[in-house]
Amino acid sequence: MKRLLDILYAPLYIAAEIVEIIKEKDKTTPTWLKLLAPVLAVGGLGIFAVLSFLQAFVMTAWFGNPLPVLGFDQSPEQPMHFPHTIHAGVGPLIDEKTGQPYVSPSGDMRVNDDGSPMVGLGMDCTYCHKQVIERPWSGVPPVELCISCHKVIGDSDNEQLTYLRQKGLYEETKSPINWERVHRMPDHVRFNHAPHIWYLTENPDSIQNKPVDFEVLPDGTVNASKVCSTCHGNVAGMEQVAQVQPLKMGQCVACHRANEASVGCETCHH
Amino acid sequence: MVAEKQSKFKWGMAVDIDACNGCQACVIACQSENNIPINTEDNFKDARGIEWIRVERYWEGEFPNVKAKFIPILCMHCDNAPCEPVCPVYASYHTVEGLNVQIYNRCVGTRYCANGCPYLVRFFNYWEPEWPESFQNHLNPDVTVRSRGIMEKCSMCIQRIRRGTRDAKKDKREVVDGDISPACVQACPTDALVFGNQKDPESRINKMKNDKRAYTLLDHLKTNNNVWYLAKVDPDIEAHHGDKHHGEGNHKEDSH
Repeated sequence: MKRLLDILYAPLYIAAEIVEIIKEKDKTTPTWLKLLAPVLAVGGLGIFAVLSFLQAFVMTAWFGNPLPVLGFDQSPEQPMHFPHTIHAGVGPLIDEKTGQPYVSPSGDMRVNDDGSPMVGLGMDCTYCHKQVIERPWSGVPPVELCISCHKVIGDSDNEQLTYLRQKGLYEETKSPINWERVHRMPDHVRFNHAPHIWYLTENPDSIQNKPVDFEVLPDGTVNASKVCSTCHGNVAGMEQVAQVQPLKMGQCVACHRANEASVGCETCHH
Repeated sequence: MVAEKQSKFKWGMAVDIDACNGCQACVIACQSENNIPINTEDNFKDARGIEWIRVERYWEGEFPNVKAKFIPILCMHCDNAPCEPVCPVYASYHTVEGLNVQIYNRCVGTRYCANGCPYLVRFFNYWEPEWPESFQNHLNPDVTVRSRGIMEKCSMCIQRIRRGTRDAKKDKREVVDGDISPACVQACPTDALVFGNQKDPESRINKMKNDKRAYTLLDHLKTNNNVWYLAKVDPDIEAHHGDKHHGEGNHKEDSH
């Protein structure tokens, strides 16, 4: 790295050498050499400026919003299309931004045969992500859980469902699906889902990005599936799951301060 | 110190040396709970082995009339810790609950803290930790795996403390004595190690630290340790000196 920088800054070094020569024998120096020195120096400084700019860009991109830099991918390709829209979505599946029905990653529109938008099942998040209430991680369900419904539900000629049934139904081809992880904390952060869900279900005022079907139960709590959107955004409206929040430390600390939770370093870093 | 008054916890540990038989169960428990890399013989020869808790052994007398004494040494979690002010990046951190913990992602590996520590309980990762393939799924997911170039130390199993306080909060009850135990305390077969909340007047640790046998290591350094030791009761000495108990001084003499 140092070697590379030496080569890049070479014009600066040469300019400095020329200045030394000019100082030593001022009268005998040819005019072209006197003119060359500032040109080289400006060139060297220019390279330095460009490098600084590039470095600043990379740093802000990394520390700011989650841009796909340095291997950070917001919305990775999954081995098969699992549409959260159909399963967890509520009511007609219409994209809030465009006003049109959702489009699957393969390009199909989520419409019925008569052209009306499909209607989401409105399944509870914790039907599949069961462990999230009790465990640090939310977990992905085994293929068997998918198969418990899709043994009979869904078209037999659907490409994605055929893949799913191969993975989960037939003994010869049974194997887990290698889902790509979307939300990943750094190795030095210990995040535990369960206490956050306990707290938010009992304190609905702290929930942000409330889902469309948000409702507070008579005893002042909410269902566990209504709190996820605080950090994960509107997953029910995602054909392919993406990370929408930066999930950086500042966000954690701001929320912990607002809710009077512990903010010591040892809370997450141990 | 102001912050400490706000918390209702101040953790501490008491070690009854009379009960310790040097079985090293605490060492093994700590090793597996906290993802400590496996030490080889060469590591110890270089004085670079990592043991958050170690059992020091002292011999007394001449063969065949020898007596072995064991002292488990772990981080003292000093209130006046020599390791904390020397850290240039504030990686050595004192929590509001009176624990001295290392923030691994802040640490840059200057090793000033280990040089400042009089108890030699801070350990530097000179190598990237490696486990055999069969161990990969045995690592504790609640504890960070420390990489090369950073300092690590006993955290009194902060992950277990947090789990205990969290469960109590979920059940809407107070943390009671014995709810939380670090791995070493849980593993000790003779209950020589006792962990508890010093602000709870009924806790076992409070009774033990007020015992007449209680002392802290290197008391003259005034580091205000939160780990107390209960001196060994030697029946031979007791017979000669009546009920006079012996404290720290005798242990230091025996140590060489």
